[in-house]
Amino acid sequence: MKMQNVMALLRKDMRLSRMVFLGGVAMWPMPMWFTLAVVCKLYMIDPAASGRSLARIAGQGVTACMMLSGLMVAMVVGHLMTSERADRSSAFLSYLPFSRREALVSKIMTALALATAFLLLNIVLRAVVLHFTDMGSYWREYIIVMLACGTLIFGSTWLAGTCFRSGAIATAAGLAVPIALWMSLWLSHFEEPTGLFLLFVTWSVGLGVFFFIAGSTVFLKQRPEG
Amino acid sequence: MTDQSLAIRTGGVTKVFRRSPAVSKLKLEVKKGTVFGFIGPNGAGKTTAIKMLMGLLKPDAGEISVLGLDPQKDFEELKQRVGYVPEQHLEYRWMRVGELIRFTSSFYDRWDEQMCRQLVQQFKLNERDKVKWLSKGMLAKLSLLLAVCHEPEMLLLDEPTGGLDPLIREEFLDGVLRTVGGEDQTVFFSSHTISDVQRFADTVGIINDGELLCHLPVETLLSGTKRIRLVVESGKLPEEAVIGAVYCHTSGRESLLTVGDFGPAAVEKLKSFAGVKVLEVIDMGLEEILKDYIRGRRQSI
Repeated sequence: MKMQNVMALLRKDMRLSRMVFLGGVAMWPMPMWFTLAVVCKLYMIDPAASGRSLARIAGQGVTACMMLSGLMVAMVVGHLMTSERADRSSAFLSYLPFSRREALVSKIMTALALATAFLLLNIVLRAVVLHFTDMGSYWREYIIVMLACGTLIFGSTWLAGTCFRSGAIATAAGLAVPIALWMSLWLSHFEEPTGLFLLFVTWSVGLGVFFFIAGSTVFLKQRPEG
Repeated sequence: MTDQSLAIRTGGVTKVFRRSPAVSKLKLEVKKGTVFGFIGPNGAGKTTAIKMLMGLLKPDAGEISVLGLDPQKDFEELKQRVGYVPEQHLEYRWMRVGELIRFTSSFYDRWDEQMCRQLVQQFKLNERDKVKWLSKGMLAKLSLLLAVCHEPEMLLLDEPTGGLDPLIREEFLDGVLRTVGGEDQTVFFSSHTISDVQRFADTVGIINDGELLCHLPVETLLSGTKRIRLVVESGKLPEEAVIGAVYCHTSGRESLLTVGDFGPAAVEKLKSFAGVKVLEVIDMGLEEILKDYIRGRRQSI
């Protein structure tokens, strides 16, 4: 594997995902701004309201941001994996002397870097809000759920992105799979919901990793489009 | 011919799409340092054959050797040594010209920066322009630049001048000739513009419905293929006279017979048939030869 090739592909993939990523970063805090507006309005109506209760409301905004960041990860990964096949620029790539493995490494590095950026943004935001609330005890659970769900979104979008040309389908798959998993686990444990959290985390990580490996295998086996 | 003297060697190459053969038992030998023109009607199998040579499509049967390499196994090395200009220019439209050149150059072991700068100037390409702003002609020139600056041993051009106006086509072909000057550099190009093939190619291959109908040096093809005007008293040319002919067209008592192995013997043979009178032997251009080969093929089917 030539590092020079990987670096060139990495620069291209970063550039390819830049606009989607920046659009995501711009959209991502919107629920937070909305919640802050509500908090300000509540404070103006009732200045005696406790700061802690207002911060709790703000916490709901953070949760909405977290959910939105799932969509952002799916969009970025979906775009990264499908856009070149959708506009057929992958045909141009197929004329160049590099291996599928180098292309895969570049895609993985780009997708992980951008997904991690969203994760860090969430953690920072959550840390700020938790600082003002009494929800500190949920901190660990929050990180675990976010990582598990993120892994599943990432993996399912990755696999769908290698199989379909449409970014919308890949993104939709990335969002639908965690919801479907949660629903099926919830329904199957309707009577006995204890352990549901752990089950969801385990399944999410397992399936996410499986989908990621399957997607990468499909990617390596795919013929470059000429 | 030894393998070392050949740039391309294919044997029995077949590619089938949805049960219909796009290329059928293709046998080609292209010598190093020559210009090979690949001609045929739309859907004849030219692009499929070129894609197989480039390793972009896997043949269903047969063997391919390009510069002594197997395009399926050695595709990275092959792409280092071959420049490819496709029919459709699918470069990243969001990149700027300069960015695309830098991106492409980073994959090659060799890149002639001086030639690249010269071509940018000659082709009047602006490195700050986005690829999506370029006209079809400019895109073709950019494609050529990207294909030649890594100093390839062979250029594969798949209808590179299709849809270009005559002036741009001329500039493009001049560019090809200027950049591919080495003795060992081989050019393999397909085109619908027969005048270009006649002008530039040393050897020509005519393909129709996936089958190679003819594979000869241009001079041999032009000097050996003639149209013979005959008058047949009975109105029907004897079947033996048509055997081996490329194409035969009869109208009333007059027949036009295109033969691929013209010589005094061919005329004598025709004269020997009772009631057959040879009126005229007509020279043919490459375009007429191509048409007659294809008509003849359809006639035989």
